[in-house]
Amino acid sequence: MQAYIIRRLFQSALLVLIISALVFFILNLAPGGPLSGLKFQISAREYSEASVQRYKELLGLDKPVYLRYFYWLGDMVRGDWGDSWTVSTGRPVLGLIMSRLPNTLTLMISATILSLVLGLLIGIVSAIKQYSIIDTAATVFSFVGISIPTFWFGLMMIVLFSVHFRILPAGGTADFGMENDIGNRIKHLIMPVAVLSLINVAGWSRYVRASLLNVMQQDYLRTARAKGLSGSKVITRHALRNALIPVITLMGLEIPILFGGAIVTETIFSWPGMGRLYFQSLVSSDYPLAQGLLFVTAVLVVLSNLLADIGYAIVDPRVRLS
Amino acid sequence: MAHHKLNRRLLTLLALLVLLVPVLAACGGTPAAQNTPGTAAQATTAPATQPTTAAAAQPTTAAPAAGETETTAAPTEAAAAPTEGDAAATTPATGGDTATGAGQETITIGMSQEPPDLLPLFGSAYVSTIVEEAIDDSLVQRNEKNEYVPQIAKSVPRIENGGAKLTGSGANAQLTVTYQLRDDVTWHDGEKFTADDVIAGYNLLKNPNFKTPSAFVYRDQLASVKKNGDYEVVFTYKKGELDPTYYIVGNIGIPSHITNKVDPAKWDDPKANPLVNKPVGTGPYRFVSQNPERVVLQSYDKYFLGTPKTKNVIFRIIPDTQALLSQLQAGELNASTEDAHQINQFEDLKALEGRGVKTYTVPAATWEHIDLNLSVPVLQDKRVRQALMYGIDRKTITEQILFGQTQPLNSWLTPTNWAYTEKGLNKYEYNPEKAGQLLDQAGLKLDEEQGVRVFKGQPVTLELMTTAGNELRAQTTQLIQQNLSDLGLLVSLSYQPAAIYFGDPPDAPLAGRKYQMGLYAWVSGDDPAGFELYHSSQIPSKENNYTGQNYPGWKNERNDQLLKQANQREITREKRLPLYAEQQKIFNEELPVLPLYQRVNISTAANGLQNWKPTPTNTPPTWNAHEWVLNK
Amino acid sequence: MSATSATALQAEFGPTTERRSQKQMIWRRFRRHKAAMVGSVILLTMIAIAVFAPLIAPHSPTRISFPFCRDCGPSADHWLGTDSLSRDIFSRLVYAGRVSLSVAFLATTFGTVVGVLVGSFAGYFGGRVEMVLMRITDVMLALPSLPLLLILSKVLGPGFNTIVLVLTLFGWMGVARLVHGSFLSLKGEQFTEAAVALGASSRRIIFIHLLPNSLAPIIVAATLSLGGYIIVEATLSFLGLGIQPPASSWGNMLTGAQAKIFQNPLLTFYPGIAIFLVVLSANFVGDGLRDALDPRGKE
Repeated sequence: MQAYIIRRLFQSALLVLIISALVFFILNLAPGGPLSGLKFQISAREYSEASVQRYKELLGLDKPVYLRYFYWLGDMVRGDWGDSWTVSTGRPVLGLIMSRLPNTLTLMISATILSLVLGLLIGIVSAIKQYSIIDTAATVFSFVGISIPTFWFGLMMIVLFSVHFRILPAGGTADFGMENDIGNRIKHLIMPVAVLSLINVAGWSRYVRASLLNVMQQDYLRTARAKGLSGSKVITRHALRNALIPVITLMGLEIPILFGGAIVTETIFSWPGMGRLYFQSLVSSDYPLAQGLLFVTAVLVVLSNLLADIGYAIVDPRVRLS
Repeated sequence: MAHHKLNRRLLTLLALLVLLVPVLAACGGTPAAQNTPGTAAQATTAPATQPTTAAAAQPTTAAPAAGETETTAAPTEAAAAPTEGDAAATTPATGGDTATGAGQETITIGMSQEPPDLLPLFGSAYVSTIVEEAIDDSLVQRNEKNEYVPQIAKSVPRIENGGAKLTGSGANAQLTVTYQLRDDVTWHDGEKFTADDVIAGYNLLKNPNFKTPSAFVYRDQLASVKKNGDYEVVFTYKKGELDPTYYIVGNIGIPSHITNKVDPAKWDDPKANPLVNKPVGTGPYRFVSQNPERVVLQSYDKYFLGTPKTKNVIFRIIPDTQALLSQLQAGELNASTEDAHQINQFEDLKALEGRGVKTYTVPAATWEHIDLNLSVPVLQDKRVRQALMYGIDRKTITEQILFGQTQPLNSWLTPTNWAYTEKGLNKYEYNPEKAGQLLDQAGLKLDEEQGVRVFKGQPVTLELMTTAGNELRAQTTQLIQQNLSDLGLLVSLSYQPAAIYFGDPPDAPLAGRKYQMGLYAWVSGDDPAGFELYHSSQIPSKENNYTGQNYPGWKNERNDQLLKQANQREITREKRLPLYAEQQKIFNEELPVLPLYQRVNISTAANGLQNWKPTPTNTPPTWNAHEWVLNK
Repeated sequence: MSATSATALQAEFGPTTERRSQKQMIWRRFRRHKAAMVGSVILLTMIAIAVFAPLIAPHSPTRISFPFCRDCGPSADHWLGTDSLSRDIFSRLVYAGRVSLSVAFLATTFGTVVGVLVGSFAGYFGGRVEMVLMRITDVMLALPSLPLLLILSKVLGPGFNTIVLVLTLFGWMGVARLVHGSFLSLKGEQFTEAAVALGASSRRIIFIHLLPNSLAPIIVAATLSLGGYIIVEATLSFLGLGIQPPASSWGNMLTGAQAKIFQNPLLTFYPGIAIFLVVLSANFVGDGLRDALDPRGKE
């Protein structure tokens, strides 16, 4: 197992490297680079090959792409992720990412916790009370949940709770001057977290239900019950633990998904997080920033895949890892 | 084994969602970014693309960066400006006659995007100028009537009032511009604003290491800038350099006592230039903090025009237009700037009147038009171009798609510009019959069976190109397509990402002149200019190193003469006006470009917000922030 | 690598032996799944409407009707009223279904084919092939697609083809992993080992022995992804890069109507409900298929 993990770690690092290179080349070879539209921005009397060349030198774009990649990689390792070009001109990328990270993490962690709690709760209840009204309602909810476009759901919540009832703020992380007020912050968190959690709750609750039902049919539980253990004890002591293993494994795969959902959610709720920054950097051709953010995403994706694999290898040794 | 049932769905979902991560981001760009005037005072024209691409021209060298996480500048002065956390708690009453009693303490304004920078002489994103205008004052300032008025200067120097002088003529003509400065203006740290601050700005701009794309006037046109005592600055141009916007040449003051040791190459480096994290200006509001959610300003009590009437001005950054609308609906904002709105929200915004929000529409400096590529054979006949103009129902476009907030345009100058002359312009009112006749005359006969016009044996097909993701343009082009197809002209629509459409020559459609019909907008500067747009020497080609913006490829002798005279030989409005009048008539007859309409800027302000005066220019509504009062 | 759910799925379905009589059994089980039946009916109706759009829509979806009537309510001529460009909403909705469903079906088909090929080669051959293919799958999962989109837009022009291409490019990995995992565990089964022992060719083993036995989860996954693609198309439109005008898709209609959400919420209701119904139906059908195809399902 240890050898497997080490090997996978090594592979993952290599993968991150490949991804970062791919990202770098695609960004830099794509049309609409940082100098695109230069002709439309400077006066015609100033537009010349010499001025284009000057800007290229200033941006370090006069060197071939592969060389630039190695420069970038070298700086990156030393902690210099470059400076933002357009989104926040001149500021270090790493700093920008770090300033958004807490907001995004708050959102993601809250959403994960909520999804987990609700997903487990709904899943367990509908498994225990299979085919009851609660179970049916949960089923309907989960199907509806995955059939609504997220942005649409978010907008509807704003219409309802911010505009109509005026009980929840439509955006931001806190009101001005209330940044240290936990209550105020929580109020701002409610809707974004609800939107970000919707799909997870819908999916996970079904998953927990199925997993639990499956485990409960297994022989050892029948035995436990036959031996006279009470229903709730069976569930808590035996069934749940076994049923949860695959659920927890699944969580490793969840981080990049949340990051994706965060782009939409952060946009709708004006949440100053990484997702929105990423979106903005791509729109504004802010390549150093986009590269930095994509690097973080790549690391998250690869790491979570790795975790999921290791977790699964532990849970299910039948998988042949050749 | 129901146990794994959901596995598949989750996996599918996962695949889809992971797929969403990049794909979503991909689609970006478009929603917020259409209404944005260009900025740089000296640039005469800039295309109305997206605010963000404008800033893309600002190159940045890699500065050594540590893991700094702070984007908020902590206030340093003893005067103790509040940090974000306790601002609300701090009470005013520092200055003698604080007028805060009259209105509410804080005005919250929604805008679309975080200002990329707040550096003087540097930022070119419109959102940056919104904030900068409140922080920093200029020597002269444009008001809501599109007139320059003195601010730090005592008067606007013009040839007409003797503030500027023109000596000699022809190649020997020389301009001198003299600014008299007020002596009671102070920077936010208490230092006096003097002639040295203007000269420092000049030295910065002309430094070859200073990274700005539009310093042409300072690098190439000016001979010298000298002070005459602490409160007089004299700008002397090189001989023959007739800068038409000479009266604003002095708007370059920087706090030299802070920046005199800053390396111009590192102007935007937070470690080299303290202004990066803590802008210091002379305006009514001083910078307190900035984070991805908001920019916080607080009134400057020693502002030379009197202490501002509202204590705090907060800019809330809300990139999604829909989100901004909801926050206006929810009453969380007192105003919103024009970068945040598009015309298609007009009715929604109007509907907010019931909730105490007033919508302001003013004509924009931006005008939409269709460039016709005169290299396309069928477009070379003047009658065809006129037929297109008669055949496009511009009235319906302005009345319906733009909610009657603007009118069809018949010149390349907007009615807001002083050189615009309506007299003698054909109005080209929608007239499909006349269009049909003109097309017949030009030899584009209608094939009755197919319902298509044929030119030299080929059915006439034209491609109309514009930017992708712009609802207004999408609707306009669809109407045009239908109008022209009713005439028997097949028009295909092509929507290109701005990065490609406005890309660089020789490959880009516009700049490389590889389009047929191209719809986009220009932002007019203060001066009519026009030489770069329509003089025949300005047709970009390999031969002329892709100089100029005459993308239609228009060549007209008289037009060339007039533009040259108006742009390079004359400088007074009086002499230039008739030149432009005649030129516009030729343009209106020849139609190398089909002008469509002048755009409108929409902003909102609460009913109780007094003195919200958006301008018909690039000057942001914050220009008179010191007069704002929000009634209680 | 992440055989996570794939192996599990396979364990669920196991190898099929008697195919003929099974069909009836599957149909019987599927028919009992009420939601799936309702979903099938809705889905088929929607498909029929899309196919026969020109016969159903009273107007051209792009024709601006005069006198210009911005956001007008329902009338005898315009059953659901007109949109902000005076076009018939009902006709646009009908044609939008055509576009959205085509995007979803094409992306599903292409994505599934690519995924099956990659997954089965990786799963069957193992070793270096597996390494390379599954790494590519991982890399694809972490790729940002905006630059790709821009390049593709430049080459192909933004629009329908580009969306299908991009959805395919970024949508095959799920199936690939599924099939890969499924093959991994099938390889250990006796019948595969028997086939190998008998000297069957690789192609034969993949397409005759392994693939049919992985078919059930693939079909279910494809059905479920169908709805997903419709949501993605809508989300693409929300962020401004969906189907380009003047063509309509449910996604761009929903996004367009969203600007009027406070004025005329009904406008968002039409495309919204269409999306919701189709996605929900696809999910129900997928669920029904899963139950029906599950050999251990209750008889």
